[in-house]
Amino acid sequence: MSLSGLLRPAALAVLACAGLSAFAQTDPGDAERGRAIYEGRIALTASTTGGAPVPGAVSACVQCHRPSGMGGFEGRIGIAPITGRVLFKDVDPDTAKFFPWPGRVRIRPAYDAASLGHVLRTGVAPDGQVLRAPMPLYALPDADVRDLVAYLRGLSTAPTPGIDATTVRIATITTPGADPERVQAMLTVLRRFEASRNSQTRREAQRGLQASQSRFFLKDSKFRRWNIVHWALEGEPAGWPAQLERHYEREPVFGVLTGMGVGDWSPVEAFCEGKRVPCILPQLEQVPDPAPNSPQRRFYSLYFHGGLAQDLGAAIVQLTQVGVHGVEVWMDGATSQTRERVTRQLLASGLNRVDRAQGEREAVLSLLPPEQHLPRWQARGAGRTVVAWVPGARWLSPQQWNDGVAGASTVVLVSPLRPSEQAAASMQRAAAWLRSQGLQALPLDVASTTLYASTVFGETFMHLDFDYTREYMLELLEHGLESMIPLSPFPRLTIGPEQRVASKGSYVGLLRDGAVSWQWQSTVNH
Amino acid sequence: MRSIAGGALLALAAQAAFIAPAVAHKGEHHEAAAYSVKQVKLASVPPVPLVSMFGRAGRLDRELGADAPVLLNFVFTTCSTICSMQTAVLAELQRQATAQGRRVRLVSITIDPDNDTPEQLLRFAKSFKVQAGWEFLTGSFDDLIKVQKFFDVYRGSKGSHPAVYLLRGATKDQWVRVEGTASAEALLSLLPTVATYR
Repeated sequence: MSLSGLLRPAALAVLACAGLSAFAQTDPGDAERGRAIYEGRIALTASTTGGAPVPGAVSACVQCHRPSGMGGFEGRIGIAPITGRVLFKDVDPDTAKFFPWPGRVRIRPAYDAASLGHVLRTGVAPDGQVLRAPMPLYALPDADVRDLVAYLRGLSTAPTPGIDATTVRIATITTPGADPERVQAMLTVLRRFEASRNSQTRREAQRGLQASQSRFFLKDSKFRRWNIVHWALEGEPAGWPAQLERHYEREPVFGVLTGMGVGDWSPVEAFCEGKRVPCILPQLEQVPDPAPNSPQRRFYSLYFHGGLAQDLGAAIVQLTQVGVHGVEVWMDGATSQTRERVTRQLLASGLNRVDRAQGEREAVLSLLPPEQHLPRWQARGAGRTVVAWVPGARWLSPQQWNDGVAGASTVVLVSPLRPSEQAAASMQRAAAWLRSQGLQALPLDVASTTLYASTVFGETFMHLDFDYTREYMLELLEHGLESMIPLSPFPRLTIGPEQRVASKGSYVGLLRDGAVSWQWQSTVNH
Repeated sequence: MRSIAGGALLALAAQAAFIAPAVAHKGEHHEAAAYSVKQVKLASVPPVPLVSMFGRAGRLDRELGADAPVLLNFVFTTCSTICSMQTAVLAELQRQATAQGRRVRLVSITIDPDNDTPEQLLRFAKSFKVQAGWEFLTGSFDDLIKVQKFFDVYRGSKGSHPAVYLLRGATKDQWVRVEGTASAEALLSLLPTVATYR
């Protein structure tokens, strides 16, 4: 289902409830405890309407209604929004008149603690309707209901930073050490995308003034102007949290759109999670390890690929399979965090480090980009050598791949990107746009990846409709990312609840009959 | 579509094209609470390679070819709504079937093989305390699209997947398609018993 198809009913329900009578609260309850109940950190006793027990993790409100409280859709099953603005407001017949299909707007009184407790226990809503599966039935004491009410009253009601009636501010973040030419290419595409989007925004806002049915769109400034700011981090990673804090204080942003980093990105991830800022598809060498047993701690950060760890893992599997025991590692210019990561992963795999690889049991393992790898490989004078080349998210032509391993006896190539010709095909759309903008000289891999990330951000932002919360944005992406038109050289990109790395494997190229043959290696072997 | 009360009471023998919701909801949500039942005749199940949650290599036709009633559904383990509730219902169905001494083979196939490794499926299954006789299966992305298309549950993305159970009927090409949110009792009443299975 398309994003727009997915969202309209949810947005409608929110709109239907906006601006109506206030909820009269009598008992404040404990909102923090209510949040713990909502998120399943306090286990609930629940059963399906048919009486089947529902395990605690599944019966948590957040499971279906999601962190934003905006609910969602799966197939034809809709989960109602239950944000503060929705649940505790009447939905009256007058509201329904605003819609071309008033019969589909459900009329019901506002919830309060008593009626919420009743519906949770019995499934019977204040208007007498019986809510059925998949809504479970809960055995909830009154105190829990009061706490839940306290939390739900504030759910998705606070103003979101970085967004006002006319403008949305978006950051892009770079770390020192990122290739300046590629950073520049990314920034150029972002600027052009921003300008192109804002010129369209002016026209759409004008049109909205003419058409009465557009008033809702205008009201919520669907066509806000974009203001992209560049936060260039400096110095060592230890200093980045303070820099990010200062940037955010000075220029609060709604979200972070792509970005570029080498070495350790975890200070940026910690910022995104801590401030609850969506950080959408940065272009990274390394992706932070997920926090163990706590998927909620990585909710706001969305990555293309598992980065170096994923590619290196694939290379190690192949090298081990061909009987390699030792590796001569090429990673000149790598940050200390990258060196540390490589050392850790090699150690775990049982491969030894050697100064100079010789014979069939030892291999050159190069993590260098082509401009560094090619001269070094040529200078080495290959002989019969095993080589694994893992250049990261760099799109290379078949010729470049071949030159990079010429003369080797055994070859392992690893890339997070589609093989050359396939990637070229998916980048064609981006290439056409770049030509139309006079930007054809930019490196196509970084330009198309940036254009894709921008499109993902922009499309999702437009579909937020009437609730501009950041959680809602991530939830829309959980459903919608895999339906976006692929513009980048990355393969199938898909996430879901508790999934924040979109591509779950690497391409591995092996020499077969003198030619490189590529195959997808999933992070798991089926 | 005609409405009748108490969809769960309908036996397979009734051969009804559809069973509509016992209570038709007029509202913005939870309206898919009820379910429809449809007899479908399918071609031979294709021999698509699959992998079980224990890492065992299998094949779709064999997985579904047991000499017992078979109930099949499609899930993914990070699904926010349908899959967990369906799995809870099937866990209850398995308990009830065991208590009644009925044999039922349950098969849950992932539609998100990128994320649902055999290990991930096993964790998911354990969280619902599934018993022997119920397998969670994965496979390659392309193969699983073939499987979804065969059973007409492929909707382009995992978030759009319909809430469907497929029950293999009294002969191997006869299937019953239950779409919606049926209870364990309802599903059990639709399954042929071993005695009637041929």
